[in-house]
Amino acid sequence: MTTADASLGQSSSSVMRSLWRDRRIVDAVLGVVIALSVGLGVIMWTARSASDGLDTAASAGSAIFKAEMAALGGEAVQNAKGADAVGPFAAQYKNQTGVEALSIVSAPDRILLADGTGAAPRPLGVGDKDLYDRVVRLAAHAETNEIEGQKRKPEILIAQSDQGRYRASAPIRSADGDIVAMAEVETAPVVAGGLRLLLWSSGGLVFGIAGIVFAMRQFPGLGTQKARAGLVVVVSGLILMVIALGVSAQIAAKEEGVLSSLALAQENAFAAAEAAAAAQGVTLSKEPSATSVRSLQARGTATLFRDSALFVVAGATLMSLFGSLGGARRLGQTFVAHRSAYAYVAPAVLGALLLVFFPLIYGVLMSFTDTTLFNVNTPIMERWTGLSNYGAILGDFDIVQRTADGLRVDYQNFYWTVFVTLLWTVSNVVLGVTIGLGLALVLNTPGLKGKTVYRILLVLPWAVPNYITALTWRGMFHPQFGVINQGIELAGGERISWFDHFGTSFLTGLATNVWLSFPFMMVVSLGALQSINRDMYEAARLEGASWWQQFRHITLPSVQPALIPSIILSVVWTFNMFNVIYLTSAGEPAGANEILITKAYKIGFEQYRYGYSAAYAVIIFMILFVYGYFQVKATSATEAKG
Amino acid sequence: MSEERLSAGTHAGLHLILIIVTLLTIYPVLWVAALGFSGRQTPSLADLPEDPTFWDRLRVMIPMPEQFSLANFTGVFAEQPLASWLINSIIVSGLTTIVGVFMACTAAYAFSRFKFPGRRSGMMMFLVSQMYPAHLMMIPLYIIVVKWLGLGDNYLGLVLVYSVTAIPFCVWMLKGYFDTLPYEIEESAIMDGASRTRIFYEIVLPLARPAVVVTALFSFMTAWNEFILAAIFMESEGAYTAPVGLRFFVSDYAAKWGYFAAGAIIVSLPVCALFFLLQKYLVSGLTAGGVKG
Repeated sequence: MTTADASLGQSSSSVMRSLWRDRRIVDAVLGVVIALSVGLGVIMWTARSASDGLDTAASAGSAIFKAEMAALGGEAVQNAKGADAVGPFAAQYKNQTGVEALSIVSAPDRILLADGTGAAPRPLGVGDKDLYDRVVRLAAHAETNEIEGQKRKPEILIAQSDQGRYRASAPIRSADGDIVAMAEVETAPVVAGGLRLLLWSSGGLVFGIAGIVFAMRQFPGLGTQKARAGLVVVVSGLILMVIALGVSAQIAAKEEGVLSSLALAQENAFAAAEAAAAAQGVTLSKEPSATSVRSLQARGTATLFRDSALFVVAGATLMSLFGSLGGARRLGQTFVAHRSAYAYVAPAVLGALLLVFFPLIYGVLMSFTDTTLFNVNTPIMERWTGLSNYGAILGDFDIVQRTADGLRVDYQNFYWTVFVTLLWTVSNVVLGVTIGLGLALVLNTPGLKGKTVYRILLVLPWAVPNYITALTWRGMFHPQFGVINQGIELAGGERISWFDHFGTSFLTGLATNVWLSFPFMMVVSLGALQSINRDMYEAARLEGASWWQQFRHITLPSVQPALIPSIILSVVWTFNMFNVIYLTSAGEPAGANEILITKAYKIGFEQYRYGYSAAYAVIIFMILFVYGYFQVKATSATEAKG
Repeated sequence: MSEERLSAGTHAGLHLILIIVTLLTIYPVLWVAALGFSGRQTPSLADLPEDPTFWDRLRVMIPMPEQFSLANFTGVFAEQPLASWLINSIIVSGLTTIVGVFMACTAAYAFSRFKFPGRRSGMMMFLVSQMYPAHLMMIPLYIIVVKWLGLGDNYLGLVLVYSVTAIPFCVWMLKGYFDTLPYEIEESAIMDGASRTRIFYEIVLPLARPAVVVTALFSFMTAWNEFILAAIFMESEGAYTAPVGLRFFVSDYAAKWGYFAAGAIIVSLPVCALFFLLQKYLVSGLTAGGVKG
């Protein structure tokens, strides 16, 4: 530093020299420069990809429109004048739109290719296998979408070939709506237009350094090293935020341009198709379908960029602040001082972070997307839909619908499922506790013979794996062969189709779950009952207390401390009792008996709507969280009292 | 409640209640057993004649096979892949036990013996995660384990998820036991120059053997009985664990109730035995967590 100081000091002014000599200022400036360079790098890289994304959207979008219109025109011409007229149409359309290559595969009975050269359509050759494969793929996608009733698979294929060309393939439908052919265009290569980021950035940099130097000069004796470092970090962070905002304004302008040019491209493509068709004496029967521009990922790019850039900068600033204030060093020292302890907990904590907390966070993120089986591998931001899942779940209050046959409950409605879940939890826990406590009281009778045998047999349901229990009861409730219906017939009644009505179906689950859950309550109650001092009953009896008074004032208060944690636990278990509902009644009829957790499963793994299902899971979390919060409060209140 | 007031008549009444409840309780178990040994595939124990009398109907309900047959038990191994499902289950549960208990032992030891920043919050973290069962996270777990890591149809995926979800319970059980071990032994070992690792493996673990064994058996039981994650992760029939396989017998596409019953007996006998062995630890372990929460 001193040699540099000497050589520099000779030639520069005295102000520069005094600035340079002041170590604090040198540190500060260096800090700002480093922070700003790293920050700028990140921002520019992100901005660059956002800008590229817009370019992609622009050229891919115009390719899609051109292909769509070529398909529309080709379809109209072919239907009106036969496959041979498609050739001249293709040539004229190509001419007007300036696409690089155009092919219209046509005629359902014998496949012909019109390639826009104006020649008569020719049959597909060996070299056209790719083309033919794409027709088949488009048709397959359309069929899948029709079966699922949703447009999940793309019905316009878009691919980027070499040198920035885009190829779009759009379907041509036969009169009865099947995809039999397609039109395909390849656009001229795109030149990506960059953003004038550097200007903004360097302006910001100069401005930032000036600000810092000014601040340092104004307060030369500024506090400790830590305070200075903190100031540097905060100022750098603020500067970066300003730059990020400026860049996002540029991106927003570009986005605006792309959107309007896309609208124009669609108009032009339609006009060209109309003109080319008119030259063949045909008018287009359909308007262009309003291809959603959102699906091209142009809209929202700027907002997304701004939000993520600000988020990253704010996070980085906070972390550097933490580091500059000595937090990082202290953290390091703590780790070193307790390294053996941390080494011992590391496997479990890492496991929990990886397979409990990471999935938790990822699940929450996913609940804000429209992730399905088909787009799960795309970047998460492309699937982002904000709160729409929650809106769809929580905002649907049409629980009772009016139909031609009268009022009907919408069993798919969230609030119906909540109602069923609460009914399910409360009825199970109440019955489980009542039966369990009752049996425990009976078993606790002094001098009763055969207690051990009863006890072992009564605990048996707890020992059996619950999925086996659930399936067994499903067998016993079998409408045709089930032993329960046999019993009803034995008593002179009619067979019941257990799973066809809400009430009876609910009862099957209830019976199964009470059967498997009362032993736990019984064992817990029995343990507590056995620890009651018998002298207390003796004393109560001498005072003339009735059985009920003894139960109310001796038994219940003694059992309570053991019973309440068990009830709390059993509420959570029952609330999430997936196996019994899923395996016994399977939520029948028509999903009426679904509880929240089985509903989430079915949405996820039978409808493949992962995002929607994740939102369900998050809502279940919230309910459990609120329950847990009040449970902790209630428990600590009782502990404080005791 | 009192010895004097309860007459012989009351006792008889109580016995009557207990006998009725007990019969109701064990009926489903007997039903499965009878079906398993009946050699039949429909979920009824006997066929009803065309014009059934009262006695015919009663006969159908009594959990005794009409004719005793081992056909279901032999069929379930010879014609159905129950053997490979059992092997899958044994491997998954065994590995889960080893991995889970190792992670739980070390963590519980640290929570019990070391004072370090983050100790309280770490224990709270495990306690809280016990409240949220893994099947609440089945969508993200499925995507992470099957789609990203490609561990569908693979033992490893299930083993990892099972052992991590078993950790909270195991940590609480083990920590409670470690707390009761006298610290003086370890102190004198430190004096003699033994390292922490050596103390852990050669002193603490042998002393805590009963608790470790109990914890291991619990982990094994939990993994052995788990159904839904296995159903999600194991997609091809050969990779099924026993629970998924048993469900497969009585799914909508197949109704082999006899195979199910035979399989259920085979699969649940060992865990039922384990359960009665471990029952008292289970109650104290479960409620301890509840009280502290």
